Amino acid sequence: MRALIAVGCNKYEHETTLVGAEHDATRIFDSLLRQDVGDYDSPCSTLLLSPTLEEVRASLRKILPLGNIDTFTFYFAGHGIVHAGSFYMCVRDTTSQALSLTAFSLSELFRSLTDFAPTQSNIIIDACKSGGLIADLSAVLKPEVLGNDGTPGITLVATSAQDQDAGETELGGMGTNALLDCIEGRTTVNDQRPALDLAEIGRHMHSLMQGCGEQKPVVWGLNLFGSPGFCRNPRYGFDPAKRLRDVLQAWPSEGYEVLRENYSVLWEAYSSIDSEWLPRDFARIIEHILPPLSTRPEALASFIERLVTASLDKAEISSDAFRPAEVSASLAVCLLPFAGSQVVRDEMNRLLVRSGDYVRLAMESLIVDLRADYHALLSRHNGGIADLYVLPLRITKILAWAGISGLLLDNVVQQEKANQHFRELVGLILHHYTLSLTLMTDAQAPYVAVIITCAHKLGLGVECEQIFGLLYSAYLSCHGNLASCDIPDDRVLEYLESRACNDYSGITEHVERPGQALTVLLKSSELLGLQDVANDDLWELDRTSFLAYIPPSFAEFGLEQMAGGGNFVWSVGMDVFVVNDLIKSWPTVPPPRSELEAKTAIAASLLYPDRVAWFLLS
Amino acid sequence: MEFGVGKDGGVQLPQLHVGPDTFVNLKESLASAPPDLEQRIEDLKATKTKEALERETYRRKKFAKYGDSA
Repeated sequence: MRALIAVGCNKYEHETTLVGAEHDATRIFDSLLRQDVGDYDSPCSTLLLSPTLEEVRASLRKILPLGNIDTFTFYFAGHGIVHAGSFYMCVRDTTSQALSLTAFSLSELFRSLTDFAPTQSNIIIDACKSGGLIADLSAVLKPEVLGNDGTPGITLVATSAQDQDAGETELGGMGTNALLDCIEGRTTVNDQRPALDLAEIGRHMHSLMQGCGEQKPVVWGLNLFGSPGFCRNPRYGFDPAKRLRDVLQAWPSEGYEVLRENYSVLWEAYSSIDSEWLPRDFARIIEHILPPLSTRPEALASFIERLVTASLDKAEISSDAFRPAEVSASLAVCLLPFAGSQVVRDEMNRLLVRSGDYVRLAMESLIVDLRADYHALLSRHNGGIADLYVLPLRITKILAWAGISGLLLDNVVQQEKANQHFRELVGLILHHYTLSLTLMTDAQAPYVAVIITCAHKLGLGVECEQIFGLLYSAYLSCHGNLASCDIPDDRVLEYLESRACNDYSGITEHVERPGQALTVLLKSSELLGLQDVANDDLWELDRTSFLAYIPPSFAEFGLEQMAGGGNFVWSVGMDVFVVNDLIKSWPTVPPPRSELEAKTAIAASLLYPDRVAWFLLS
Repeated sequence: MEFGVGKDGGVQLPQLHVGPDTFVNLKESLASAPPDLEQRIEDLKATKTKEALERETYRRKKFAKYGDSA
């Protein structure tokens, strides 16, 4: 049995009120009760918020006599004080004039623990001067208490030395923050064992709290034996670098020279997965090392499978919930030129299914977040003006991935769930982000193509019209002057200012001319039967050029550069006056050779938004 | 040589870009031209302008509508 008592005291009848202690205790309680974190047993665990002394004692009376407790943890956050050679935890009715009678002393806790002897006891005190608990250690440092077989092991962590105060931030007590970072895996204590003990966590907390001013935690371990059992180790077996090392060590001998030449850039590409990951940079490296394996499809597929496992481990710790989906899809796209082999095609299918599943999970999480707070899509850091540009891009990208997730999955039940999520997400975006469903850059063209075709396919006629209307209006309002796909970050503000005053003379080199966004919009109007709507305002785009690049086939649609094909350019007012003129002159788009090629090409257009999968709109 | 019409509906006359020596020669030639040449040039400009505006009107009619009042 694993038992927990978490006490957080904000309210005091005779002491100053605190702000964060109840919150800290609640966080610890919630975390340690999670099966994947502490796995403490709920029936024998208690959370006490601003309790009286009697309530604390009652909890101990209720839990300790249950017996068979292999791990007992006591957590306290609140006022602490050393008095007359003993450390006291102040509870709601504590008065400093009678501490020994009204506060909860560590000695009392020790007596209870030695009496009922849980196999392991963990005591964590996040309070000022908590290091003063050393004064009470003499109560347990006795041969009759510790040392014999069956006597309890005790670990104590005090988040401040006996001559220090315990600080807090807006997130909570500094000591508790560090503790939660360790047990919830935001920092690695070790990755060698499946469980962590409080002593090593305490030592790690000391390192984490280096920047917390004078506050330093102190740790004692008494009579420790057996395996650690304070909590699970969230980083067990998780050395991200180990995975890639295993992949590289298993590399087949042919092509080893290429691997050796690209060793360091491969590590860089791998390391970037959970941070500033750029799909094209990643693919460029992978595509460079694959060709030597092209004559051995089984080895190629096997390498990619191991690489994707290593890569997804890293991608899953990224703060971008869609990163695993993109990484998986990116590797599928890298295999497209080798899709002549069944083994490779099977691997591509697996990667795309995985990608679709990650998108489905990301959508579930996003929908929950949006229902709780409709601001959830705004940037958490460095937002503000930047969101004027990045938010529309983010919204269209999310909707596009959400749109294709059903297509990528191979299980009917999962497909229906993914489609349902897409419907709900479209509704939420249209309701809460109407003004942000706009066009800022031509890089949104492939996302718009996917959103509209997927929504149309799912019968979202009204929503399609709304989306088309919003995006077409946006295009008209900026007179077709969208930012180029590769506009540098430091020119974006200038672009926004140009857009505000409708004067693009200072930023012409970063306005996409001709672009693909208008092509997508006009072809979408054909799909949705909204040609008349588009025609009515097309005069406002008089003299605007737009284009479509049609590849010779979609077999190499993921490559950075494609040979052959054709660039088709039209000009409003010269070639096109109404949508029908475009329809009549629309080139033949070679269809993808298979459903797999189609799915991969669509994924490529979302990863590399300088190309549109025109077969969607043809 | 045809005249164009700009976005604002105004006729755009063609431009001739020449080097400094040619410019001087051109000016002298114009100054010493017969008196009716200027009138003939003006007549030609008027004809070309009319044709440009007619072409523009015809072009704009190909749109479903042109302008807010259309």
